[in-house]
Amino acid sequence: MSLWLDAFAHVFSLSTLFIILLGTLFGIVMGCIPGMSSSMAVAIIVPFTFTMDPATGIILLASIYCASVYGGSISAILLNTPGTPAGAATVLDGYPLTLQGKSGKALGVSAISSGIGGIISALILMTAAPFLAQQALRFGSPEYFAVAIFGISIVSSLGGKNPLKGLIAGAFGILIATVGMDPINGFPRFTMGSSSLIAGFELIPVLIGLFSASQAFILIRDALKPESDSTINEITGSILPTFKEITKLIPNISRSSLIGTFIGIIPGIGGDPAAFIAYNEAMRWSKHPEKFGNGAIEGVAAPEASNNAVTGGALIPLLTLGIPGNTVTAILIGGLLIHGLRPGPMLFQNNGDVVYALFISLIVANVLFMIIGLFGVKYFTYILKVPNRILGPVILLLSIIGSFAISNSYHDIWVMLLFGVLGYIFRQLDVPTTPIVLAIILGPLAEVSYRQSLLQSAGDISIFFTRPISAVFLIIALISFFTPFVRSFKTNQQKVS
Amino acid sequence: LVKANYIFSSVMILVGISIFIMSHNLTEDAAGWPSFFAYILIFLSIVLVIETTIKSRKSIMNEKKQKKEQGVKIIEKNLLFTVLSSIVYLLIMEHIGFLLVTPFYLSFLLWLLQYRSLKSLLLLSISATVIIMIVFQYLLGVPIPQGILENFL
Repeated sequence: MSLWLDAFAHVFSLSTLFIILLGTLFGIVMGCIPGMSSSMAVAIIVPFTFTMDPATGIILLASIYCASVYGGSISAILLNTPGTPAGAATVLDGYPLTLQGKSGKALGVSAISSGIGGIISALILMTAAPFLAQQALRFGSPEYFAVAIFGISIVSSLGGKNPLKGLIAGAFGILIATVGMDPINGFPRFTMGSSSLIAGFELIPVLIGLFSASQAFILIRDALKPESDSTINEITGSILPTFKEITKLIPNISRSSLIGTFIGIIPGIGGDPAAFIAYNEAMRWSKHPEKFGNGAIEGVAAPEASNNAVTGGALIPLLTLGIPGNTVTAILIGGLLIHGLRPGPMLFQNNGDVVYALFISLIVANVLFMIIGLFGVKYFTYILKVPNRILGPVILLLSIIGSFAISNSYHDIWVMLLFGVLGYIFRQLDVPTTPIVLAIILGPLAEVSYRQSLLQSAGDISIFFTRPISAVFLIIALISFFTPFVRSFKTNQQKVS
Repeated sequence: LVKANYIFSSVMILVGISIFIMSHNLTEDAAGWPSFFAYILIFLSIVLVIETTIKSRKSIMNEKKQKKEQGVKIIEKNLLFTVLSSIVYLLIMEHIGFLLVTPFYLSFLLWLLQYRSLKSLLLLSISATVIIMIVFQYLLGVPIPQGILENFL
């Protein structure tokens, strides 16, 4: 109980509320600019949280995460282009509403649905996570190995159209993580005589390179392309929906929030499918499914509630097991590690203050962006006009400063640039970059727990299959690993027939 | 994308082979994990080559795709200059410092992106550098590379 009280006191202090406000504003800005993503927004800020206390740092990152997912709906509605991939489903009915002169209403419903979705998922997170973490405390090395393998197994789901490319990226990431000292004996591996590589590649510069610098390169590349036809529409009609309109939407919003939270908990799926699934469900339950796609307000409420609910859901495996279920939560691990905090059950034991403050701040951030969305959304439309040729260089510069800031090291800037170029090339080749990060985070955990388990069992690998929790996680890992291949095979079969 | 897949797979196979060869200099304990994943990387990359070959034979859209790829390449010249100028910028910044070099770097990037008004180019570059310096170094306490101005800032 005292942890909750301490967390309340921390979150409701003026300085923390100010940080949440800043994070929310920054998140909405980054979310509403097409081409930006939640992962880029969070990655670029991680190093700047280094000077903050751990709770405030992670609160800032979580606020950016929640707000940026909401921000994606602004450009989806006004510009016919989602600001973030998670906003793609919102375009379907959001833009037709704009064309009908009801963009205000769409933006208002989007803010309220996103806020409620985020709050419901935060409440589920607050209830479920401490209980799950308590259970996870019983884990030994074999269980951690199985959990890490489960986390790594989702790389096959992250390959987009081609699961094979996700796997290659994952294997590449595991090999990158082996650079530096061997975690058991301290033997230097693949350092090529460089003292800078003894500690391996720092996670934060790698993250900034893969997600921010590579995005800056894309913006710079596209800066000279002719402007797209999409014009920024003015906000028309009242933003604040009536009480009756909202009460009508409540069942839809609640259902979509539960869908989003549940999908968020399952690693590897993410916000964009969650939004589409909630959209389909809303259409299935609607009395007027024919209105969907032609400007149904339910078609805005469902995906927005769902994609924002993913934020709380995705934090459950992250905080309780240390498994990042999507790109942003993988980056959030970087935000925790920068303060020496390792996500997992011990985080609740050793740093309960940080975890509970994060829970409360999620609700505050969701309420805050809802208010900002209802009363200040018109100011964010100006940001949509900032050209790529300004954004690109600025993001590149921030990536450089951010990489230097962590340990005053020029080496980190070079690492960032290297991974920025690598990330850009991978994106051009349709190779996903998230598996690399996932593997860099979970690879060392898997290796250490694997080798420790074998030391315990005198080299007998049956230790992983005879312990029930470990065996269950390995079975889930197998299922999660092969599911995308089965899906891809079935799709091909359907195409053939 | 067919050609790109071949190049990507080849590079990944080379990475796998290099790791595998370098693993021979390590103790058996330390080499086990990376060697195993080097094998996996090589295997998966070979599978990608085979998959791409089979798919490309089935595809009849190749010519159109190649035309599209050529269109993208022309624009990518910008990017090459951006990366090269970033390398030069980092090399110089290490000695001279952020404040003195960044306006030139930003000006170059903006010029590369067709900003031709000298006045707004200089104004943007200098003001962005100064604002970043003030916000990060003085307000957020984030270290910025100082270079030769180390004792003055």
